[in-house]
Amino acid sequence: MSAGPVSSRPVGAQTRPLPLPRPPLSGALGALGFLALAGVVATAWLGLFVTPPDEFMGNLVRLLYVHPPMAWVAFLAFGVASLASLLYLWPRTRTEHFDRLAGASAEVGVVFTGLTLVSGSIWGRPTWGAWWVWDPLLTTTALLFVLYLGYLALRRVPGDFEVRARRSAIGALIAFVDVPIVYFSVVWWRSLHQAPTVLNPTTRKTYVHGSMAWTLLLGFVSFTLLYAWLTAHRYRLAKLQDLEDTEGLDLALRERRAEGDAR
Amino acid sequence: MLRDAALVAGKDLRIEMRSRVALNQVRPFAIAVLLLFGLALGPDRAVLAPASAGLFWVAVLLSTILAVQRSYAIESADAARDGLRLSGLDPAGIFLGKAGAIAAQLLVLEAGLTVGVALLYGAHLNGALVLIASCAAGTLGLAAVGTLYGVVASGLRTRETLLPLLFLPVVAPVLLAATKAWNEALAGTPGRAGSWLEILAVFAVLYMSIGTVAFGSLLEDG
Amino acid sequence: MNGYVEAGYLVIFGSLGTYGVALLGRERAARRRVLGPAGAGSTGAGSTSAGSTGAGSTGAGSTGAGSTGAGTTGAGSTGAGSTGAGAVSSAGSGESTTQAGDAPTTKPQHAPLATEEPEPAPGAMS
Repeated sequence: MSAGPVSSRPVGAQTRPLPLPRPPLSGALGALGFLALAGVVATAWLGLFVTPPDEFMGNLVRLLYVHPPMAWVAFLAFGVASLASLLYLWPRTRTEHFDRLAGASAEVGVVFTGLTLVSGSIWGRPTWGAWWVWDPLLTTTALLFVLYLGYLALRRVPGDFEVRARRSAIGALIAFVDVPIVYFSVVWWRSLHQAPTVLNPTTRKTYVHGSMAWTLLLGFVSFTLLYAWLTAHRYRLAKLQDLEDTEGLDLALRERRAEGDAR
Repeated sequence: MLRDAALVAGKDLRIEMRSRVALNQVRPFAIAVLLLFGLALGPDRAVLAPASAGLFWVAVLLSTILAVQRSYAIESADAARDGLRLSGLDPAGIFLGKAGAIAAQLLVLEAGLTVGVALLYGAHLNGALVLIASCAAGTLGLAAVGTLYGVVASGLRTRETLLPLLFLPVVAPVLLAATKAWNEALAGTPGRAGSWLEILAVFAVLYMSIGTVAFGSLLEDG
Repeated sequence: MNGYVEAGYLVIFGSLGTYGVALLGRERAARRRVLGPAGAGSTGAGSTSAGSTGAGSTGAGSTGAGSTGAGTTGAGSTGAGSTGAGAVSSAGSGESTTQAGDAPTTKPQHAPLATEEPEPAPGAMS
C-alpha cells in the first residue's frame, strides 16, 4: 500500500512519522478470533439443533448452554478488571497497560453482564412465569451490572491520564470488594424467604446427558475465548485512542508545518 | 491521624451548626421522601408498617447522598480543598474526620426519621438495641463509601449525577442488611438479626479501612 | 416455548456479533486516524466492512493508495475535527473520539487544526 502519489508531495516536507508496523500478536489474535468464532457458532448449532430437549425443561434447556457461560464471563471480566486495577495501584507493577486492560475488560464485561441478565430473564419467563425473579445470582448480576456502569462512567471523567487511571483503579477496587458482600447478603436474603427451589443451572450439569454436557463445556470455553478476543481488540482500540491523544497534536503540527513549507 | 480527624470533623460540624443546612434541607428532604413513599404505597398501614424498615433505609441512603454533596460543597468555596491539601493534615485523618462528620449528621437524621416512621407508618419500635446497633454500623459504612466517592466527584461538573450512580450500587448490601436487621427487631425477634449486623460491621470496617488508605491519592487528584 | 429460545439466541448472538463488528470498525477507524494511509492494520487491510458502525470511510470502501484521509485532529480525545471537504459522518458508536468520517484526500494532507467545519485546505483535492 503506497503512501500516496509522490508527485504531489513537496520535496523536503515532512508528511508523517514512521508508520507503525502491524500491531504485535496480530496473527495470534486472528487465530484466537477464529477459534472463538468457531466455538461460539458450534455451541449455537449444537445447542439449537443437535442436543435433545431436556425431560423437565423441554427446549428451554438450550438457553442454559449460553446463560451460565456468559455469567461466568461477566464475573471473569470483572475479576480481570479488578486485578488489573490492583496491579496498577501497586507501585512496582504500575504500567498504563493495566489501566487499559481494566477498561477494556470492563467494557466487554458489561456487555456480557447485560446479556446474562437478558438470557436469564428470557429463561425465567416461561419457567417461573415472570420476567424477573429475585434469584440470588441474578440479583447479584444485576448489581454487578450497575457497578460496572458506574465504573465505566468513572473512567470517562476527564483528567490527566495518571489521575484518571488511579481514580478508576480505586473505583474498581471499591466495587470489587463489594461483590462478595453483595452476593452473601443476597443469598441470606433469599434463603430467609424459603424461596422456591431455584434451579441452579450449574448444579444441573451433573444430570445432563452426554451431548448436553459437552455443549455446555464448549459454551464455557468458546465464550471465554470470545471474551479474550473482544478484550484484546478493545485494549488495542484504547491504545490507539491514547496514541491519538498524545500524538495527535504532534501529527497535526507537523502537517501544519508541511503545509506551510509547501507554500 | 486521629487528632487531624477530630480537627476536620470538628470543623465540618461547626460549619453545620452555624449554617444548619443538614437541619434545614436534608432533614426536610428525608421527611418528604417518607411522605412520598406513604403516598405511593397507599394509606393502608397494613402495607406501610411492614415496609417501614426498608423505606426508612432508602430514605437514609438518599439523604446520605445529599449529606456527602453538602460536605464537599463546603470545601469548594475559597479553594478550601487546596487548603486542605496544603494544610499538612494527614489525609487519612481528613477522611476519618469528614466521614465522621457525615456519620454524625446522619445519625441525628436517623433519630428523626425513626420517629417519622413510627408516626407515619405505624411501626412499633421494638428491639431498640438492634435498631441502634444497625444504625450505627450501617451509617458508618454509608459515610465511608460516601466520603470516598464524594471526593472523586467533588471537582466535577457531573458530580450531581455521578455520585449517586457510584454510591448507590455499592451500598446496596447495607440497605439489605440494615433493613433485615430492622425487620427482625421490629418483629420482636432481635436475636435473629445477628448475621445482618455482622454484614453491616464487616462493611463498615472494610470501607473505613479502604478510605483511610485510598483517600490521600484521591484528594491529590482533584 | 420454542419462541423464547430462538429469541434468546438471536438477542445474544446478535448483540455479541454487533458489538464485535462495531469494535473492529472502531479499531480500524482509530488506526487510520493515527497512522494515516500507511496504517493498514491487521484488522482489514484498509477496507472497511460495510457493517461497521464506527466512523468508517464512505461506502465505496477505501483502499490504501492515499485515498484514506485520516488527518488527525489536534484537539485530543474530544476533538471532532473533520478532514477536508466532504467528510462523511457516521455516528461513532458511542465513542467520543471518533471523527466525523474520513474524506478522500490526496497527499499532502492538510488537516485544519481542531476545526469543526470542513474547509477545503488550499491545494488539496478532495
